[in-house]
Amino acid sequence: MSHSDAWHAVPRLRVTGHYAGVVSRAASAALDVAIILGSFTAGLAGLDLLSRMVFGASLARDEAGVLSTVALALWAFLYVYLSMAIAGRTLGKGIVGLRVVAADGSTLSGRRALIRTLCLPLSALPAGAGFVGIIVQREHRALHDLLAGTAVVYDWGGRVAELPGPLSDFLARKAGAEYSSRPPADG
Amino acid sequence: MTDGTESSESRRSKGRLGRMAAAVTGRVVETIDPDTVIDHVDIDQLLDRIDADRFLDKVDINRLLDRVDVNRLIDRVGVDALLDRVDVNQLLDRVDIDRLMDRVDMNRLLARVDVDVVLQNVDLEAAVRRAGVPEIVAESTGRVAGSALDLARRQIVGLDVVVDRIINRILRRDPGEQPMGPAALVAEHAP
Repeated sequence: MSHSDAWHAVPRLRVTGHYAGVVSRAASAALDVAIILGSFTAGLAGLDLLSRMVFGASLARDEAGVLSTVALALWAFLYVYLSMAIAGRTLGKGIVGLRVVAADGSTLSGRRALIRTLCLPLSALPAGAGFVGIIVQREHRALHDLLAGTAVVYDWGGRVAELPGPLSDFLARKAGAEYSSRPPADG
Repeated sequence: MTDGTESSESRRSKGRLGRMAAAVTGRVVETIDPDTVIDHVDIDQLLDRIDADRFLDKVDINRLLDRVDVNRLIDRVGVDALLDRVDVNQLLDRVDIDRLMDRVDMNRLLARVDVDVVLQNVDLEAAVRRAGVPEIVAESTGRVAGSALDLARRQIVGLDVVVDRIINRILRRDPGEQPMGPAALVAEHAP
């Protein structure tokens, strides 16, 4: 068997449209938190600079941080809701290759996106208990997913979501029924 | 004594005849039209009698050329008029390009080319744009970035599957009975 034959003997399992697991969800959430905090901080610093130049007053005089907290919550809501309603994914989900869809797989509606965004704090507030569903629930749906009737799936845009070759080979041998297998289109 | 007298008379007679002949010749030359004389001369016959080799042997070419003012000669040549009379197409038809190219030493020719000077006159940016290089670079860069992103994504999906299998083992669930994804999407992307 030649080297190229051995290479093509391990087709990657395709997972486009499959429920996304906990590591993907956590990675996308971490990216989103970083993006929200980074953009908010940069935006606030810019506005503060502008305020000091134009009005001679600094926005950093908010001692209790109430206004900043409200502004951050509002910014986070807008970021998540608008991203979800427009693209079906936040920037973090887009980078990791995830998409939020309705539970039946149809495109996410604006109403579902709004409910999901509003319910997101419910999953986080009881010590993150609502997120446990991502690990133990069969469809990897968190509390806010169940409440909004949504699910998160793998979607790499124009490219096919795949598993690494060796893992695909292992799964094909040990538990092939769990994941569908098809050789990549490019051979 | 008699011989001496005869010879002096003979010399006197010849002198008189000579003077007469000179006077007559002078009158004749003044009277006759030179063109009439030239018309009577057979130039071809004259030229046939000339030994060209002997004539050329007597010509000192170097001395002749030294006397030629080349600049003055060139000034008198109407180059434009000369070039106007040249049929370039006909000239090119007679040129054997292949034979000419065979005689050209390309390495020697290129060695004499000052590339920097040549490139100064070339709009490289426009040439690169026309060749579509920016699009190729953007496409290949995007492809490399996409491949790197997909590599990272594959690792994360792999971890998802491993964690999922561990959870299924702990919860004693049959992996084969777990739903893969929303029915519509799984059917759409099924092999």
